[in-house]
Amino acid sequence: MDVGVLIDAWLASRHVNDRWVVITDIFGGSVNNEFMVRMADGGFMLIAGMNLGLVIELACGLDRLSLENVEQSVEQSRAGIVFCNNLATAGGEDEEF
Amino acid sequence: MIKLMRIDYRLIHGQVAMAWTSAIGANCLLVANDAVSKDSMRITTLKLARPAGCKLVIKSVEDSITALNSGVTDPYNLFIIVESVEDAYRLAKGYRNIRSINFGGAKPQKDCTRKLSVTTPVSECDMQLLKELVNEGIEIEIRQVPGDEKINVSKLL
Repeated sequence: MDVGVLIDAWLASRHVNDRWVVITDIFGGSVNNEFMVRMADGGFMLIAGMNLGLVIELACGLDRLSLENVEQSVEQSRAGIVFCNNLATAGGEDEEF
Repeated sequence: MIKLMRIDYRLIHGQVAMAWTSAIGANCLLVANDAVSKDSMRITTLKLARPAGCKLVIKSVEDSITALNSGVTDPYNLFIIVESVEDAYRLAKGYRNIRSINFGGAKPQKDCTRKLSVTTPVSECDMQLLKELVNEGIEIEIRQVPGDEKINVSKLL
């Protein structure tokens, strides 16, 4: 199936007042590439490298999807990729009231 | 002041950390749990799940009651999390200022005879404890996330 055709169909079917954030699987992948060439005129925000933390963050802030907020969410979501094996030894002080 | 007390067998997890803490404006989380307070591995895991900008204190139920009654918790916007109806009961009996309990999730057990909601199965014993708390005028409401409508448990008993 030609991804470009699917994307064009979606672009044509959008409601004029809808705002879109597109999240694709991987930067450099064919899907993201097809979205990128349509980005300038398409009027949507495009994020490559989907992860669940990012999706939840955006979904919980649908009324705050400015360019700045989305960029900030993308930056913060990087902290969600964690190699956990090193964490167990991190410890830290027990907090008290 | 106590912003919320929540029963959630998963203690601090995504939903709780992200949605609830910011919705209620909490700056301190108190996990009141006997088993966790004695288990350094679980303490470490919980500390990692701590929401940013929020203090995390982990104590047994008894120690939590003592701390609450002593007034040391008063300066904080406190979010108390317990894992079961039983622990919620013990805490509410020990610290009499609890007027409302959010029932978010209970662990499905063999002796659970009823589901008050999709995520809150309860045993006969739980029902008795809940009835007693309700009769003392404590609001017990079921909600998964802050935006949900409150389901008042007194209507379900």
